[in-house]
Amino acid sequence: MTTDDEEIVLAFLEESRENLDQLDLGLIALEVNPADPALLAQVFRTIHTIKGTCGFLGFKSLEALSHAGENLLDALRRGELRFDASVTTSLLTLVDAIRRVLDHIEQAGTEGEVDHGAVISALDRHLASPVAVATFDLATTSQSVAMGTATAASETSVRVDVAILDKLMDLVGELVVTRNQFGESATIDDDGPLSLTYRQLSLVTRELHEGVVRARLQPVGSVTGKFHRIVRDLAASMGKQISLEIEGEEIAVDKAVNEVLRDPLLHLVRNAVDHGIEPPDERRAAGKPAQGMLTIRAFHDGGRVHLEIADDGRGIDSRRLVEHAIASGYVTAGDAAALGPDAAMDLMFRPGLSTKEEVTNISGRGVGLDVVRNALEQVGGSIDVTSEPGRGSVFRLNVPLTLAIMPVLIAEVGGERYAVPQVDVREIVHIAAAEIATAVRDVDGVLFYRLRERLLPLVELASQFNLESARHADGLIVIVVEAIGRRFGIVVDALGDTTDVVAKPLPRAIRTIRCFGGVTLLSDGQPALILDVAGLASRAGITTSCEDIEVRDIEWVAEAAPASLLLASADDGGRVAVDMSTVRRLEQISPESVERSGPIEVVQYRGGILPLLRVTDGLSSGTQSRKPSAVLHTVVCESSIGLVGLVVGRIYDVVPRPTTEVTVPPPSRRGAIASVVVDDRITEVLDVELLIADAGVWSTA
Amino acid sequence: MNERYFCTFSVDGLLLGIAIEHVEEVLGDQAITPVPLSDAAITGLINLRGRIVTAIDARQRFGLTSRDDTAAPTVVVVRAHGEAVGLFVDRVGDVVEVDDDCLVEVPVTVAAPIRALATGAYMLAGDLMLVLDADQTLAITS
Repeated sequence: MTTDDEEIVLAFLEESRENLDQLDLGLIALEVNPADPALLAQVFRTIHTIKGTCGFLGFKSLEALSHAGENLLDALRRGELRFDASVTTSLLTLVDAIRRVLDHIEQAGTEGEVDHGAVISALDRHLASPVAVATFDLATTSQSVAMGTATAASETSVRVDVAILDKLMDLVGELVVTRNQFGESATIDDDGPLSLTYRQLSLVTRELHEGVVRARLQPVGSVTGKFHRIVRDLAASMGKQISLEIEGEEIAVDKAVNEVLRDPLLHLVRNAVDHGIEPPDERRAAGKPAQGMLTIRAFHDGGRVHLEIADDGRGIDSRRLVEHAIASGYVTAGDAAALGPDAAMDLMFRPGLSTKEEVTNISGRGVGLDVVRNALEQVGGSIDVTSEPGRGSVFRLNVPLTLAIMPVLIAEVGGERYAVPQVDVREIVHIAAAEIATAVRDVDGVLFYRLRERLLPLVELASQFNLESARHADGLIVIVVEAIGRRFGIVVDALGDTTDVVAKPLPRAIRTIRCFGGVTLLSDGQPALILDVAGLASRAGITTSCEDIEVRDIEWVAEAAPASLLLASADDGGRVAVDMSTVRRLEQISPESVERSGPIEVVQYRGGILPLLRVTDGLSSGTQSRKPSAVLHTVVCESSIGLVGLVVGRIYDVVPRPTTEVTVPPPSRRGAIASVVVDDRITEVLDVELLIADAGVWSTA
Repeated sequence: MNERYFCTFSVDGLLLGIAIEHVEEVLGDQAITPVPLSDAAITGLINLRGRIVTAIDARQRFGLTSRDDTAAPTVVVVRAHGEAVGLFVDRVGDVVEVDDDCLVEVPVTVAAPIRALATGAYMLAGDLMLVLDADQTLAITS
């Protein structure tokens, strides 16, 4: 063959293989929706195309194979035949036969000597005894069907060798480093021509980078698409019924990342089918539907791609894992007892701990989850698992979106610089020295900072890294970050610039340190470590339970507020209380002296007008009390609009404010901001300002 | 006669050698970025002409006394496991040619940590040179 011919054949092989992948998906989809006319039409077209190209290139065997397939599909799409499992199997066998011939062509240049008579007659047999279906109207519209992710290559795209894209990426990386170095000298120029040029260069570099990154993007589906066929075949061979759902196949990731995900995902999917999901009778006995569910979900979050592989199978018993680990001498019984549930589950990722006694053809030998974890960590990714015995398991993987350039914030700790990925940074907070006493608290050994009514756990990087903090001023510099739903603050000595860096994976020797996600060279040539915010959170013990602590939930409120409450009863008999700090006087007002000023009740009081607020249960509008009483017990309070009188039922006592508050049920009374328990009674603490706002009382001055 | 070539260097008075095919180059003083939480033998990261390379302290690796900091360290860049790693040594010696047949066993007087990493020894003009296994020497995780 001449080189031209070789190129044509190579292109043919590539295109045909893609078409065959499409066929796989289409056939499996048809198995579920046998009467879908659009699907049938598309599958027919695909095989028709293959047949045409084969004939054109003189591949007789392939032509015969695809011709047989085309005949069968023609009958199917004309409604002369019904699509069932045996038809699908025959067609999938055809697809595999075609693949083998393509492989042979690739290796030896010829189609090979295999006799495909069996495959062809299997297809023809279906035609011979057709199970006729009632004819239906074939829509000949050109609706496209979502059979998978790849659509036919449009004419506005080109095929590019991956090596070229890799080279482009490396070059852009070098350009960024060079630009950074240039930037160091350009900033001295300060708005002069040099600095102008630098800004221009910066802009162009950034756009070029973005362009190259986009060129390298590939949908995750190009990896996950193949799983439909694999799961179908695997499940069938084990006599299991499994449905596979994939969500988020259109999520685009860097091609290199896709390559990294391929094997781990395959391994997890096979594990789920092999070990995870039980055979139909076992499932029915457990009260589950006979068909098992396997879901793969891909999504973006915080600059990373996340994949969840969930099954509703038998789950993983962490106790069995621990027993196995002890039996294998991996961990002593004493150490094992100290393992928390997460750490116990983590044992699964250690080499040599497979809990399946038999080694089957399907799962292979010795290739364990440790390999999966290694592969992911090599590129700065991670994996963990949660499981419920009897209910199923969820494996969660994540990898960085690109393995290349990322914007970072430089932070200094202990005299060294570290890079914090910008994508994880939420805000920067400076805590003045004076504020530290009131705003920073130690709760059970964890430092918290009160940031706008929420508690932010703080991680001091210096102490995490066993370094001496080289802080200059007395205040604290906190970088508020968030990763995998965990928000916390990183305390550093000083802040540097925001800059773009070329991120490289961690060298082997330090790969296992969870706090770091990569390394990079700063613009002065010094190597620097890139923080892995999620890893840091894990190491520092930041759990999601910190997330929802609101300031009022802890002693904080008691310490900030005055120490006494005035106890009283409301009109309806319920218990209420008011902070003593706002109380000025206790009065007994005769009902006759109450006048109305518009919608508000007022009384003349000490030369002024005192608006009255009746404390009720909030259901009525509060302007009328039910029974006329002798006197109105009024608590005169200081407020933003001057003095106001809270009309209560009875005044009981002044008590120290309890240190804990009842949060469930939340206070329902109008004007109440919290509930406390005093003398075993639930007492709602009133806030004067709230009552005023509720009543719509304006300043009467 | 089977010649082999070794790059030699000394660490705390010991003469060591690594097969030449594993040695990329020898460098002088390097700026190091320390890596918190890493194995004690890892000094940190260095910039090797644009590549970020881990640096290992030979003395720590071999369980020897710490280096006197006033001496300027030399870095032997060793390639193993498909990666380049910098080994901080006291002094680099010459490249020597030895006859493979003259390989002897590592004497039992050699301390355990080094003996675990050495595959043999050669007598060189009165000095004993221990042959280090590059793969093993660089196999550190944190």
